[in-house]
Order: sequence, then C-alpha cells, then structure tokens
Amino acid sequence: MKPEVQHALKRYLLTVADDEIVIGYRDSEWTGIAPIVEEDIAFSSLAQDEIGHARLYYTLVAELTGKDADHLALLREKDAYYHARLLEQRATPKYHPSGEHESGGDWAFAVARRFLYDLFDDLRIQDHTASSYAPLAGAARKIQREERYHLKHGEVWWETLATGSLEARERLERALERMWPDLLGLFEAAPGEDLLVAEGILPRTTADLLEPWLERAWPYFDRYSLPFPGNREAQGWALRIQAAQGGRQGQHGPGWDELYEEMTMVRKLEPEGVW
Amino acid sequence: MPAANPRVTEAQVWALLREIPDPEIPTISLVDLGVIRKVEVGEVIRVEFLPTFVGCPALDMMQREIRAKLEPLGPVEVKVVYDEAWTTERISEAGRAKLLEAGLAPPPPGDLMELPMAQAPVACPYCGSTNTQLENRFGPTPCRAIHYCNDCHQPFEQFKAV
Repeated sequence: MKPEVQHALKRYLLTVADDEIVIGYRDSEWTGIAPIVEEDIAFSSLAQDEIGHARLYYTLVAELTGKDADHLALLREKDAYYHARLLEQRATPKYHPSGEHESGGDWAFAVARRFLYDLFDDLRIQDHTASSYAPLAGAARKIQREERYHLKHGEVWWETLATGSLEARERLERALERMWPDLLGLFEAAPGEDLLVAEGILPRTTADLLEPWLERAWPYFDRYSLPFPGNREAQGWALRIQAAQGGRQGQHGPGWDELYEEMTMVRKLEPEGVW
Repeated sequence: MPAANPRVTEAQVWALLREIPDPEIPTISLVDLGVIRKVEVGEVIRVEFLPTFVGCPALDMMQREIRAKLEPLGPVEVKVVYDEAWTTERISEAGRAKLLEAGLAPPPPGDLMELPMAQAPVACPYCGSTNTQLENRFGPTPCRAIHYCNDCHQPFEQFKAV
C-alpha cells in the first residue's frame, strides 16, 4: 500500500473508531439510571457493543502502524480524536460523589441520537463490506450483524417517544431541534477520503452518505409528523440547517473536555497497567 | 520454546479444545460453540479463533484458556480472525442440545441477516410452551436475549441469532 493511502486509511479508521468509542462511553453513562431496568440492560449492551467495535477498528489501525490499540484508544492528545461533535455530548444528569446531581440530562436526546447515528453507521458499515481492504470488509460483515439489534431497538424507542405522552413527544422534538446541526456534522469527511475512494477502499466518501441517510431517516419523521428541516427537490434535498463541523478535524466542544478527562484518567494514572 | 512434539496430532488438539468450557455459558465447549475455525499442527500449534461478539469481554479469557490448555504440547499461537463472521449457525447440534438442557433457548436456525426481527415466539426451555414473549433483545451478556413464558411463568434466556 502506498504511504499516502496508508496514511489516509489510518486517519479514516481512527475517525470511525473514535465515533464508536465516544458514543459507547456516553451511552454507558445510562447504566444504573435508565428509565426502566430492561432499558438499563439494553443501553449498557449497546454501549458495550460500540466499545467493542471501537476496539476492533483501533486494532485495524494498530496493524497498520504498529502502535498498540489501547494506546490509540486512550493515550492520544485531546485534539487528535476525530469523532463527530454530536457524540461527545453528555445526555445524562451529572452526578457528584456527594450524591447530589445536577439537573439536565435527557433520555429523548440519548435515544434520538443513538437511532439517527445508527442509521448513519449502518450505511457506513454497508460501504465497508464492499471495501477492497479485506480486514475492513471482514470486520464490517461481523459488526453489521450486531447492528441489526441496535436498529430495531432504536426504531421501537423512536415510535414510543413519538406516539407517547405529550411530554415524551415534546422532549423528542426539542432534542431533535437541538441536535440537527451536529447530526449533519456526522457527514464531514476525514482528510484523504477521496484517495481511499480512488483506491477502492471506500465506495464513496462520508459526505456522500448524507443523501442516502436523509432518504432513510425521512420516513421516520414523516410517519409521526415530526418536524424535518428539509425538502426533497428535483436536484436532491434542500436543508434549512447548517452543519456544525470540525469534529473530524479534532475540534470539539465542552462535552469532549469533560469526557476526555474521564475516559483517559485511569490509563494516565497507570500507563503501563495491565488488566 | 521447544517445537511441538512431532507425535502431537490435530485430533489430540481438538480433543483438548473440547474440554474448554465457554466462560459465560460453561455448559457448552468452545468447539461446540463453533469458535474454533481451524487447527494446524506444525512447529507451532496454530489455532484460528472466530469471536462471537466483537465486544465480548470473555474474548481475551478464551484465548488465554486455549493457550494454557495446549501449551503442554508445545508452542501455541492463537489468531483471532475476522475474514469470516462467526454466526450462531456454527453452534453444533450437540451444543444446541446442551444449551437447551441448561435452560437456554437455542438460537433460531437460519441466517440473521435474512431472519425477520419480529421472530416467532421462542419455545420455553423449561416447559416447551410457545406461549412466550420477548422481554428484551439484550440480556446479561451480548449473546443473550430475555423472554418470558406465559404458561410456566418463568423468565428465560435465549442465545440470540447472530
């Protein structure tokens, strides 16, 4: 593999891995405080799956670079993580050791983010199964099977909130309104993706996933008359929202300041620790 | 490390692997679970391993156990492979019977990617009734779902299709 292709592939895989580890961490924060016990188990399992997928992607990077997957996951500089900004935001109330907790936190935000991200991730995984880079295609075929359960879980919750109590519906609408700019930030391509497309490693760039994602997400809004900030026109979708980008360049918000400290704390205390 | 004893055979390796229980469902062996794809005996004993779930926390433990079991025979290399996806279709007939015996409904036959997500009710492993309902697609480990039997009023787990 040419060095510039290898470099672009490494960068792309890190982007995907970072998306997965960050949403996995954030969703794991519901363990113990999800609205019902069955959901506690489900959300924890989803989080565990995503962290597992992140580990696999980091392992693919490790095979290209010789760096160890744990190092890649937990010992990089704060601005060298390339996840979309949507995923770093805390959706749970913040708990303090005193037992107090700050208000805030929103299950509707967590559920909507999870589902709309999964619709995006599923398109990306489908593309990976067609990759000329065999390790990525193999990983994708495995991950795709697990994601079927994620999508079904998301669909059920989407319907539950959209057709539930007035409060549930209002919370879902508010959460969606808040997240649209960041949702569109998912489609910011990593540098070098064009090169990967030219080499057959990716069938299309992450930016090219926006149209198919809108097509896929739209029916879930339409079915429950949820506001959708765009119209399908002859040339494609016209959106009334600007994407909040920067995540794929390592530019993040306050959610990442907090999460980065927490995620890397143990590893930094004992960098050589083995468990 | 000394090379593997030239008298070590593949059959011998498989027999030893059959003695290793799944760490989370100890009633079934790693061989019945279908996670061992290939065994090669040469200078080194090579075992190819297919993980059940990518994020399975028992993955490292299973590899350690394989190594520990086979090391008396010579040097061992366990390779986790992803070029083929482990699916529940790889669980042997004997394995499925053992799951049922342990109170775990076996996975539905067929490829997950073609199975409808709203699957037919799963037979209760305790009383056999199909008057059951899905409680949760997720359970205590990534590979298990939780169901409830409306006849014998017993919650039970299922090894879900993957």
